[in-house]
Amino acid sequence: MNRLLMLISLLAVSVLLSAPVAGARQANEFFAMDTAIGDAKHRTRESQVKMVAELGYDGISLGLGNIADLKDTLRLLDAKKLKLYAIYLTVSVDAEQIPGNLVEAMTVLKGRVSCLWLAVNSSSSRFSSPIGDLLAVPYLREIADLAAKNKLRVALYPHAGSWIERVEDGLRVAEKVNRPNVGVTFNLCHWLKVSPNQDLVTIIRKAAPLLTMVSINGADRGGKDWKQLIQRLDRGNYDVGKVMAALKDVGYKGPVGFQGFGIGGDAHANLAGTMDAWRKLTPAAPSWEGELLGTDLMKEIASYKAGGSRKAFTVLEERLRDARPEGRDIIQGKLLDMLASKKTTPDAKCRLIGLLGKWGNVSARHPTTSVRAERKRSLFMPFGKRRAPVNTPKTDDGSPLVSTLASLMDEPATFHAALEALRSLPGPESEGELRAAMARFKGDELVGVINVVGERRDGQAVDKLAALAGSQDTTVVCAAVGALGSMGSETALAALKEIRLPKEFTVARTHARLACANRLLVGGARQKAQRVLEDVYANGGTTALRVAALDGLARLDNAVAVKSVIAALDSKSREICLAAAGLLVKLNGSEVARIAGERLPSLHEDAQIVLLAGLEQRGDRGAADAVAKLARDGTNAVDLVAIRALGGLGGPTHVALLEQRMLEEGEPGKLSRESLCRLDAPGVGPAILARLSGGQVTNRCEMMGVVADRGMSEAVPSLIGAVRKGGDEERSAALRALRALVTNEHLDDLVDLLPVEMTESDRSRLTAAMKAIVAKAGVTDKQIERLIAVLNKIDSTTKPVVIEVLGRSGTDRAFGAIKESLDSKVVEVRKAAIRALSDWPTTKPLPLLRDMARDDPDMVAGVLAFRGYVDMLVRDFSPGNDRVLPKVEAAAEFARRPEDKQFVLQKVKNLQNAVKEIGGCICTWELAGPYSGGNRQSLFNTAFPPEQDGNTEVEWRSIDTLAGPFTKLLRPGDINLTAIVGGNNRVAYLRTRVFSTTERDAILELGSDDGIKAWLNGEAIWSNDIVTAHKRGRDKVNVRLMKGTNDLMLKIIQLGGEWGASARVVEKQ
Amino acid sequence: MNRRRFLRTTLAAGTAAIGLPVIIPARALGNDSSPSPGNRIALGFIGLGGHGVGVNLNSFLHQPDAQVVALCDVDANRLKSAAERTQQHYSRQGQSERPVTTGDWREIVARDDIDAVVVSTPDHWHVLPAIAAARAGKDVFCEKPLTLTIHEGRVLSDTMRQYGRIFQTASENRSKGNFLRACELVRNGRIGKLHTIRAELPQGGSRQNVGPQAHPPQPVPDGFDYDMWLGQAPEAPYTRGRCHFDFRWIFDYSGGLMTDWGAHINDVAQWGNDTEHSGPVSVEGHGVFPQDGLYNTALTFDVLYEYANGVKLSCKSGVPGIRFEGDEGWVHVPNWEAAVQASSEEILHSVIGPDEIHLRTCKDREHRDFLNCVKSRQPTYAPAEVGHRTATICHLGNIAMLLGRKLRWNPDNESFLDDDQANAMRSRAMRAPWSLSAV
Repeated sequence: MNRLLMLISLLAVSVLLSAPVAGARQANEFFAMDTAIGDAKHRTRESQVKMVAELGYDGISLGLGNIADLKDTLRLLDAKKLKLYAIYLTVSVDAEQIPGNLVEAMTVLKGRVSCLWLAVNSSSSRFSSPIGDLLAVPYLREIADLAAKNKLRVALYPHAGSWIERVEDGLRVAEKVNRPNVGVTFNLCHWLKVSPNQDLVTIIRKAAPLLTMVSINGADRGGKDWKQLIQRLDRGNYDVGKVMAALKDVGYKGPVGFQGFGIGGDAHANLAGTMDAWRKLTPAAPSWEGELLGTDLMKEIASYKAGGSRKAFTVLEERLRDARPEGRDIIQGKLLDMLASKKTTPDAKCRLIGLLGKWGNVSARHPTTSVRAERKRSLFMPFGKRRAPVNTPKTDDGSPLVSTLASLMDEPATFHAALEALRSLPGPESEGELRAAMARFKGDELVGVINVVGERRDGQAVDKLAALAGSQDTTVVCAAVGALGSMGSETALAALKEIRLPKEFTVARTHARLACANRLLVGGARQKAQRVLEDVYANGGTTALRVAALDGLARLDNAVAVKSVIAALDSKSREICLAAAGLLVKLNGSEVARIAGERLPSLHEDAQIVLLAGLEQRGDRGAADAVAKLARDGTNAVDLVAIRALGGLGGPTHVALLEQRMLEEGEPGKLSRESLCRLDAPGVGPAILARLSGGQVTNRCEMMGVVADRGMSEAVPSLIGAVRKGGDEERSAALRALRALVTNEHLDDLVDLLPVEMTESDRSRLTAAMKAIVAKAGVTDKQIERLIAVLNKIDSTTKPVVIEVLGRSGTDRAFGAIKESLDSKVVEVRKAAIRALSDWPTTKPLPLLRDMARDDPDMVAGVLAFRGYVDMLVRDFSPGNDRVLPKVEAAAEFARRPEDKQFVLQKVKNLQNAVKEIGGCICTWELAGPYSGGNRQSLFNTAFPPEQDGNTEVEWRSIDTLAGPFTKLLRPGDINLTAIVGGNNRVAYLRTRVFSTTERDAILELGSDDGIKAWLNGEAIWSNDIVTAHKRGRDKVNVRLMKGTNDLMLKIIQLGGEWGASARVVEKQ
Repeated sequence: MNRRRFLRTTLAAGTAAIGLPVIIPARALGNDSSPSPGNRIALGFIGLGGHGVGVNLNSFLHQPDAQVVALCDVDANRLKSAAERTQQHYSRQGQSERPVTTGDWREIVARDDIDAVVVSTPDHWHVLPAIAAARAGKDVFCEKPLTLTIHEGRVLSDTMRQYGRIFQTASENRSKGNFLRACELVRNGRIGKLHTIRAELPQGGSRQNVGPQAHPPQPVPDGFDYDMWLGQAPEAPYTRGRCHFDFRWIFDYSGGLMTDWGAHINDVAQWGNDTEHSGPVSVEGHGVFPQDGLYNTALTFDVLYEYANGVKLSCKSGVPGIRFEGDEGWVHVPNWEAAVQASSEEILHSVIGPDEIHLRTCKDREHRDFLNCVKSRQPTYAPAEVGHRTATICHLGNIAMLLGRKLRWNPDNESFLDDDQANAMRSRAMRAPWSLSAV
């Protein structure tokens, strides 16, 4: 809601509340100002807090002083569960900045109820002069915004002799400040001093929308000096009650402070006398709450028609909610009278009944006998189509509220509302009225009452309900039977059994008996419940009822449950069998799986499926063999579920079965393979390994895939053997599996495979396997030597494999060996060598590739080397490396073919785009940190060593901000602190130097994730406590750069997620 | 052949992704690409308004293993229109059967030839037919928000369990990839320890805040069984704005936007917080309610829930979306259709491994999931207990706003602590003759 709307709303409410007697409950908390709590006996804060607590004050206010004292006081107050309502201080609007201790105090008070109580002075403006607003408004806004960040309110404190002297001054300034957390104070003593002739009610109504704090004290009428204007609350002849009445009138619910300035004497006596007076002032609830009737508000309520405005009811409900118990009872009495009034519309009555059902007090007596008598008289006067009650409702002995509601049930227009209200009200009174109502009504109304009685589980109603079950009205019979079921008691159960019902109610009765049994079961009466459940299961009639009974039986003791459920598995009813299968797997005990296994084969197919799914979920291997049997012999529908379940339940003995079924096409094969991969029982690994030898080739090949998927490195020797000895199909499968499984220790074994004759595809697989090893774990020097030795021995068709693998190693020895291969006369070997050099991990081969690209007489080799050279240059590029781009551009000069030239141009374009992405961000930084400690606020505010003047022990280190990695939000040019530092809840500092040829104004654009502070040439220039993702240029700071170097330091806070920053200087224009 | 012997069908279909906790092969479910009508799941529709027809009827008509056999609505015009649409659909398939039509849902529940009911009524008519159907041995697909009161939800969930019925809460969001992805990232710890969930629901517009006299009493239109439409709700004069669609702005029939959209977004919150079978331990908040006219549910609201695991759920009016915040990052779905956003690329593109938590979903939506589960007898992805718990959160928000104070809630026994007033608001008196115990 915007401020204007809020003000309008508040005004609307205040107008509504401004009826002379319609005030809300005086809910104000009462505190002692620090001016009242000190004397010779109470010099310590501890003694003062203790005294205030003992006397029943809700807290204190303090003047702003030492922060350590403030913290100590808060601890003392917290220990006594008291509040610090305000921190008082005087500020001058001429000041250049917010007092430092106020800033610190706000941090200490963050989130508390305390408000900043500002007396405002101005050295340049006289009392109340609006000229001072020009300075005051921005200054106070600054304070208000800082206070808002700390979730604190500000109350301007009109003070005689200050610039803000009158309440009107405070209001004018607060409105101009226009911040939701800024309001004004009504100080009685200062108001009496500076505005002695002003009308109290007028000024309080005027202040109401912004009234945030109030201070009062005893005073003398027409008093002039402070001795007369500030006294104990029980002293003086000024009627402070009028002040409280006016405050009530506008609905002020904020705190009220006792001003004790200059009273002197015994603080304890002053405070005690004041508290007595306060209590006399505020228990006036009966007098105002009792005056509700007859007000405009109540007239509006009484005339309400559905669809009209409900504002009056909203206000009434607020008052009921806020009223003290005694006040609420008084309002209730008035509402009961309204319900009896002929002037109150039926729609209004329904709403009032709803309010009473919600807020009513069953035990409350009516405030006056005469009113009660009047209500009784009115209540039974005819209105509308009322029916004659069978019984006279109780009014004298019982609860007036309950009996009134019961009576209102007799009116059709209010029947449902009254029934709902009675339903909501706890206690025997409402139950009694509801029981009585069962004898008064018939038809649908009676059914409604029966339903409520059933919901309330009123044990005393069982007999009446049982009697109603004999009604001729079938709806009533059903309702009565259902209500007995809801009772869930043994008596209700007995009644359900005994009542005579026509056949058509058998199902209703059984549902009710089940409901009863379930309640008994939950309540611990298991035997009683069991008897009913067994009976219903055996003779329940409908399948649904039998299923429900079985559910209950399954929740009995495990032995009973297991027995019942197993028996149900034999049911001829598919529904029951399915239910039993579903319930069985939820039961406890190891025997469940065994039993399930025994029963599985003979079950209905649908039940088999349900049970198989349940067994797998259960993960109990006891039924694995039975599951396997179905996986082998089950029907087409069942076997799939069984195969799937076997993956979770099976063991080594099931490997052969799954292997066999894996060979089938479609779902069985796919599921069997998945299950083989999931099997995890002891002995499964060896069983699978054993399947790699022997059996059919196809089986072995498929199992090789399985061992690869299972990550069984122990299968490598078998697979290598298969490469050596197997046929083409088996070799291919083995090489595919090897690629997934080999590690560094297997490189020699793979090298040994090089001489083996194989297809080109298989050789590629072997190469891939060897390269995978190098990529995963690197190779040892010894292995390099072995590879070089092999390279020199093997034939030229195999050499490319070794060259590729050597190339991945990046060692000098490998480089030499590959360089030698460039002299090979075999084209494929030369090509492999060039490719290996092109992929070299460092830029070492660059000159070699450049020379070959330019000079090699072999066109193919030249082109290959050219592309390798350009790619390597591009790989070497980083946004800060400005030597690369010219080299790439220059490479175009020795491109041999147009397409190679095009290739270069494309690469140049890509690099230019990358440079552009840096976008002028500063890329050269030094880093200090990380530093950690405390929460977000602490991280942001703590001056870690880089911020501390003269701290020379900070270790700064250069960082490579362009090395990446980069993310969507942290691109080249940004500083990726996640990658460079990492971690959560910490800060890092970055520093750099910005050179300027002239002294000039500029804009420093900053981005950060999360918060940021910045210093330029040692001066703090920016601070943004924010939790956000990085966005380049988010913060724009006007800076003045000096000619020459300018020192820039950033503090970047990391709370979680990504962490980074960016900075760039742009011209002011 | 008995139409309910679905599991015995042996033809492979192999297209439906079923995503059950235990994955049962599609072939075993009898997902025949075109089973004969007699072998399909026979559905009875209760409630044929905009969503009932536009979404639910249309979706089920296009499921090859479902057959719409009966239709019910208290509005004869809507009933007729839905029947024509159904008949046309089946005529195009060469079927001549006409769906049975009725204005009394009890006739649907009583039929022996129906396997499951689809309840798309206004909110105050969700639970009663659902319970009656379960007691008659029928599975239930029911629209959100699932319940009108907390008590209704408890009875509904217990009944479904007790009678062994399959139940789907039609909340849609669990089939949406964006919410699924966000919740899986949260559940698998990608944002560290979850501490805050910020849910936003739409806020009430001019349609809901109409002022006084906008809906004067009107004659009940011909063919509209208004008394049946009112059902358990108190008697009230007919006016057009009370019924179709706009019923949701009136507490007698619904819970306003808090339940209407909370059923989606708060459900995602429960999903991500792993509290689907539980709930918060406290709730407080305030709302702005219309002060005039027919409608009375909150126009805007700001409610805060706290869970026993320390997670705070803030539910406010705004743009429907949700944001999960943890100590190592956040994920955010800013609106219903938006892709997931995250605090880092690492989180955003994180792969959920095979051994990690994969939440139950069905990319072919809730209707498909329901039919699969009717066959497999496995729970749907939003069974009654889950739908009830989500609806409960929404009701808690409304109760806290209406009482204007912080409430402490025990999700185990589903009662407020030391608060008779709030506890009384867990249920309402139903207008006779309707009741949960004698339905």
